[in-house]
Amino acid sequence: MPQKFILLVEDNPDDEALTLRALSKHNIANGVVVARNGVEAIDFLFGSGAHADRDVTELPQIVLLDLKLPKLDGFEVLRRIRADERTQTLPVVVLTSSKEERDVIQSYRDGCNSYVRKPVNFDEFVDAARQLGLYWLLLNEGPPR
Amino acid sequence: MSGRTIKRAALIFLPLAVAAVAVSYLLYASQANAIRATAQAAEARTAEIARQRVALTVASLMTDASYLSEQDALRTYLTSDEPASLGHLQAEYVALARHRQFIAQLRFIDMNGREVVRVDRQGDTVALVPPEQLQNRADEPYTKETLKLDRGQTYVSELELNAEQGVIEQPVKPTLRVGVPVFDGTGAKRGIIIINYLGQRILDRVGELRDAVADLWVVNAQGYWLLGPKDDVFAFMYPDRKDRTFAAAYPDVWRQMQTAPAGKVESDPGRFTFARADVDPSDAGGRPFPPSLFVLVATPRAFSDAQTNALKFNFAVAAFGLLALLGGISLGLARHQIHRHEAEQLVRLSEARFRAVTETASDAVISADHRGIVRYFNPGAERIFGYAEQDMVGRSLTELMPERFRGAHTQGLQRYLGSREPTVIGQTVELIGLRKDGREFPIELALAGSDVDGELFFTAIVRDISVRAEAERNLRASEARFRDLLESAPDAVLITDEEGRIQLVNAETQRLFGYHRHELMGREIEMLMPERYRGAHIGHRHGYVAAALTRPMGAGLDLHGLRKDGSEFPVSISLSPTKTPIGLMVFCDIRDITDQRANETKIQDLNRRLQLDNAELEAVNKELEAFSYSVSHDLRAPLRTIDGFSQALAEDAGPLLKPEHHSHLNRVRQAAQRMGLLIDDLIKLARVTRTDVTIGDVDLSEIALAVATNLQDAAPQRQAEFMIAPGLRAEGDPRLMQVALDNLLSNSWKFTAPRSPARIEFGTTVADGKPAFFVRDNGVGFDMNYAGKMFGAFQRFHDAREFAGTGIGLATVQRIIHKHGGRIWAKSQPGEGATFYFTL
Repeated sequence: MPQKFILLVEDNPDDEALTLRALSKHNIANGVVVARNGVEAIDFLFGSGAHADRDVTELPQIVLLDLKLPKLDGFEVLRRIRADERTQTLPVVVLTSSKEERDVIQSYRDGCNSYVRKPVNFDEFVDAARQLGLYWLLLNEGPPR
Repeated sequence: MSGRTIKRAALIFLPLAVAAVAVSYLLYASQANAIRATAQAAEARTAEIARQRVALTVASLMTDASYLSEQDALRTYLTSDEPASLGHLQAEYVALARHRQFIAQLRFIDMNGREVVRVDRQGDTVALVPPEQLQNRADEPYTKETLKLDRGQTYVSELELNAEQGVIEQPVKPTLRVGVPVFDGTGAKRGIIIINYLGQRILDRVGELRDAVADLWVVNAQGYWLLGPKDDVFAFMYPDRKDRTFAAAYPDVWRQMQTAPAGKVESDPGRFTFARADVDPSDAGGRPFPPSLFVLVATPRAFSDAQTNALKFNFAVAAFGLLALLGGISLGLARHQIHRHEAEQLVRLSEARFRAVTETASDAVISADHRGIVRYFNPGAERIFGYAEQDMVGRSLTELMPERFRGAHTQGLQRYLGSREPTVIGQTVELIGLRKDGREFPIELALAGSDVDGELFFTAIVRDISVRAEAERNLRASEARFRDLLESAPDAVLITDEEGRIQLVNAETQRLFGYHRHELMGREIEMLMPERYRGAHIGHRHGYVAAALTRPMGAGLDLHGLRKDGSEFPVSISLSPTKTPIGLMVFCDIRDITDQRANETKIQDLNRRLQLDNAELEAVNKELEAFSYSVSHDLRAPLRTIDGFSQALAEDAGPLLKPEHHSHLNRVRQAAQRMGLLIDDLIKLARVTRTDVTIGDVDLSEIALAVATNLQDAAPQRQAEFMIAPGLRAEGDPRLMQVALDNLLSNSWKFTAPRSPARIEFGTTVADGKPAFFVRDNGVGFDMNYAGKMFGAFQRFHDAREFAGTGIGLATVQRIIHKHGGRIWAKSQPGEGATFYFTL
């Protein structure tokens, strides 16, 4: 597990592939852990289920969270992250298809740090991924651990 | 007694008191003068009598002496010189001395000074002095003086004390000597005759005139007194008493006595009235005379003071009495004056009050005397009748009434004066007044008669009731209007009294219930309701009268009316009470609600249907919302896949693909991207449709400016002029107006792309008489033939290759404007730019 990594929570394999592709264009795809639904994301973060043996002190630099997820949706994942002391300060960027107002409001209310809509145009998507990586992995000073 | 009374009394009293004192003093002074004058006259008289006594005594002595000088016996003696003739002379002298008791000594002295014959008196005894005792008197002053005299002259000595051989004879014997020369037949002077006179007699005779008060003095030329104060003694001729003279005691008096034969002198000790008892100089034979004697009547000041003091006291008592009387009178007068003053003030106050009331009264106040002549005419009267006070005072009341009433007025006045039977006095009557300008107007007149000191006065209070009459007319008109209104009212209106008896009904009542008016009047209201309600209604009615309120009747109950034909119909009834002088009247408004009932049922049905529709609509809306939510999430993901993997393909297999393959992939991507935009716009449109309008104050200029700035920032290379009118505000939903303006301005921005500079304007104008906003550009414009389709969704006028777009923007704008109740339209020509107008 690399020192600095991204947790990508994404159920759509196309989107997963495109996101990884976009990230890899800027050499940040190596440090990406993918959770394919909400439960998996929670297990990974809190060392439960399939990730029961994981060292939970190893936290990602940033969580890229889709909202429409099977089992446990993105809002619920966000709420649990914020509810737990260990992950309370973990930066979470909502990365989703819609920019419905109620989704944006609900996300911020539940404690996301940023809200980015996935553009249809892949060129724009690549640019967005570049900016996200640049910002959250290099520019931003994360919470101290 | 008030200080005011005392002050006023003092003012009256002081001058009176001064006058009284002055008069008293003058009376006193004149009285005192009279007393003094009387006393002085008496004193003068006494002095005169005393003087006469002295003078007469001396004169008679002188006569005696003259007689003796001519006596036969003496002549015989002088010629014969015989002893017998001497004896004869002696006998004569003795006889004379015996008869004349005041003669103290009688002598004949020859030229040598020798006494020839001498008769002396000792008391009552008269004796001839024997020859051996005769003396030579040549050295005596009286001898010397008399011998010097010529015929007809007489010597009179001073009143002296008799002295023998220089010794004053005791008891003192005041003596007056009279001497005359004696001539013989040949005319030769042969000697002198000397008569000694008992001076005490003169003094006694003068002394007789003394009274209880006045002292009598006899003072000689040297100022010695011979007769003086009763207790005093002679000082005259006593060397040791040389200074005890009258002259020394009263030098002032003495000095004045030298200047006049008689007079009075006031001096400290008292008043002296004096007279000089001179012997007539002719009697004294032309000799220088005096010796003089002064007689003086002296009245001590104490006495004259006592006299005036008594008077003074009397007058003082009288004056004090008078002053007390005057004080009393002054006080009385002062009181009277103050009372009168107060009474006058009361009258003035009353007058002022009367004036104040009448001068400010809006009514006319007119006073007239018994002849009907105006005496007082107040400002109210001036205003009402148009005459000035000075014009009317002194003129007849009849001028204030129309000609036709004057006769009756005069007769009425006469009748009242004759019988004192009031007709209009004390009552209020309505009459017609006449203004100065000849206009007549209705008045209300109140007349009062008053008797002022037997003279009859009338006071009339006149009110101009034109306004009231007008008001009454208006009231009648208003009542008529009320009746008209009542009659034409669409409801049945009736009024009942407290007992529920019908007092008034309108036409609609007759129509609604089928009764004629006369069938209803006075009947109980219950006749208009079905039998089953009547009993309860009577109870309700009594309760209502006790606590009358305006309210609908039988709230929540089905009320029914009963027609004359027995049919019933639903009604609504409103009651309102009115308190009137004849008791509580209740105003009932009865409406036939048969139609209303039917309508209500219909409305209820409609409402029910509407509720169902609403629920349905809501469900649809919810579905739509879920749909658009799902669309925004799920429809875009595949597009991203298409676009993303097309690009991935182009990148990964780039070298293997021919250029046309790249073009194909590009078309795939563009289609996917356009569909992404379409979905976005559709979602926006759906959102606008869903959103409720929240009206607020919107600054359209500010929104437009922000949009313009965004557009220019996004394409800084474009040359554009935005002309945005400042301060345009409207009532609208701020968020929706933001969307609308964003769409309109973005549209203009898009279609002015070929222009340099592009000109885009936002402002207001007037369209069809109403204010309208507009967005105008100098862009490519459009053909007005297609203007009708312009606002439909997915309608596009331009080639997608020329101008990108989904065709949803204007549909969204129109949706927003319609949601605001406004209108949107456009004007354009191809190539000439376009203008979009909208109202809100």
